Amino acid sequence: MPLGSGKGYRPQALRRYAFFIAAAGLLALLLLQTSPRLRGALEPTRTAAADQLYHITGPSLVEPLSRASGKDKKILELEARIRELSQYKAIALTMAERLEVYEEILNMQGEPAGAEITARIMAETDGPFSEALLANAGSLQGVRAGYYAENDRGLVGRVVQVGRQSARILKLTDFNSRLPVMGEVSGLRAIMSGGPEQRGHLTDLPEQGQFLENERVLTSGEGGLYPRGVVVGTILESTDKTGKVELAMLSGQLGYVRLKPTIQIFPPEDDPEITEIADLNEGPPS
Amino acid sequence: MRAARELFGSLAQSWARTAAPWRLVFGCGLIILIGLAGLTPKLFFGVEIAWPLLGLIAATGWGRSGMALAPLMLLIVLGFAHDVSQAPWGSYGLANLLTFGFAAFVFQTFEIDRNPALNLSMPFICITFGGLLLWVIASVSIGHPARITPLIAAFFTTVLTQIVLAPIFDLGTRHGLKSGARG
Repeated sequence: MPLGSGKGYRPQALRRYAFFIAAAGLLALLLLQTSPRLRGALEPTRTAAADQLYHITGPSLVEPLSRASGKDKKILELEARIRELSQYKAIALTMAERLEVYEEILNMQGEPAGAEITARIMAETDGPFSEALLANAGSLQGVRAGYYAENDRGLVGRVVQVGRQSARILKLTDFNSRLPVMGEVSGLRAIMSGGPEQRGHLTDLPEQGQFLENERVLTSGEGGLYPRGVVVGTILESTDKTGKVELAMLSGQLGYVRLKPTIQIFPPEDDPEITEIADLNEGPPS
Repeated sequence: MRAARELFGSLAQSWARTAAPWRLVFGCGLIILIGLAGLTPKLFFGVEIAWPLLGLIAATGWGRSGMALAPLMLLIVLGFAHDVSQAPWGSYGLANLLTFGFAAFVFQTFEIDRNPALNLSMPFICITFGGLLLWVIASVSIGHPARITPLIAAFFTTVLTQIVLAPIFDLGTRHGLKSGARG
C-alpha cells in the first residue's frame, strides 16, 4: 500500500490544510490591520468586546486574598501619611488664599474646568503590544475620547477609546504615548515618551540648559491635549540629549482614576467669534 | 494526609477515564476562567503578578495529541478573546496556532513519550517558540522592537503554570504516530 493511502490519511491531510488555511487567514488579518483605515473599522468590535468585559470582570480577583493580611500594614502607612500631610495642608491653604488674591489682582485667566468622573479600573493590559487600562465609565457617564486620567499621585494617561460603559486609557508608559512636558523649576520643555523599565523618556530637549535632578516634571499644555501643570513625575537623570522620568502615577494606586476633560483653546482664526483687524482699527467709539 | 492522597488518586483516575472532547472543554473553561482573572488588576501583597499565557500552554498540551480540528479552532477563538486586550486582531490566535502546529509536528516527528529528557524539555521549547513568535508579531505590528520585560515575566509564569497544568491539557490521544509507536 502506498504511503498515505491508508485509512486516516484523508482526515490527516484535511487537518493540515485547515491548519495552513487558518494560519494564512490570521496572517492576512494581521497584515490588513497595517492599514489605519481598516484598523479603524475593526475598532468598534474591540470597544463592544471591552464593554462586555465590564459586565464579566469584577474588582481584582487576586486582591481579596492579599487584602486581609496587608490591611494592618496599610492602615499604619496611611496614618503616617496623614500626619505628614496635615503639616502641609495648613501651608497649602495659606498659599492657595494668597494665590487667589494675586490672580485676582492680575486678572489671570485660569484653566477652564469641566465635568470630572471617577472610574474604577476593571482591567489592565501590560503586554508586549500596549499598556492600557480599562475604566468602568464610558459615554453614558459623559466620558469622551481625549479626556486625561489622573490618580492620587499624578497623570496616568489619556482616554483613547470610549464605549458605552467603558473607556480605554493609554498609559504614559506605553511606547506610543507622547506628552509635551516642562520642568517645574528649570522651565525647560521636552517631549516625554513611554518606554521600557516603566519610565518616561525625554526627547527633543532644548539645546541650551538641562533639567535638574529630582525636579518635578509637569505637563506643558502645548498642543492642547493636556492642560498645563499636571504632575507627571520627577527627573531621574538628564543629559544634553535625553532624560529619564520617574513617573508619579506608579507610586500611587491604580485601582481608581479621575477622568478629566481638556478644554481645547482654539487659535483666534478658528474661533467663530473672531474680531476682524479692520474692526479694531476703527478705534473706540467716541 | 491519607484522605488527601486518596482524593488525589481518585481524581487522577477519573481524569484518566475522561474522554478527549471533555478534556478539551474542561481545558477551554479553565483558560477562560484564568484569562478573565488575568484581566483584573493583579496586585498580590503589593507586587504585580505576571499572568501566564495559557493559550501557549494549551497549544503545547493539545499539540501533543497531534493535529486536530477542534483544538485548532478553539485556539483561534481563545486567541481572539486575548486580542481584546489591545493587541491587533489575530496576533494571539496566530501565535497559539503556530505553537500548536510546532508542537504537533515535534511530538509526531520525534517519539517524545519514549524519551524522558525530551518529554520534560519539549513543552518548554514549544512555549519558548510561542513566546518568541509573540514578540516577533508584536514588534512587526507596532513597528519597533516590542518590550521584552513583560514577555519574559509572562514566560516564566507560563512555564511554572505549565508544570502544574500540563496533565489537564493532555488530551490522552496520540494521532498520527507511526505504527509500533506507543500511543
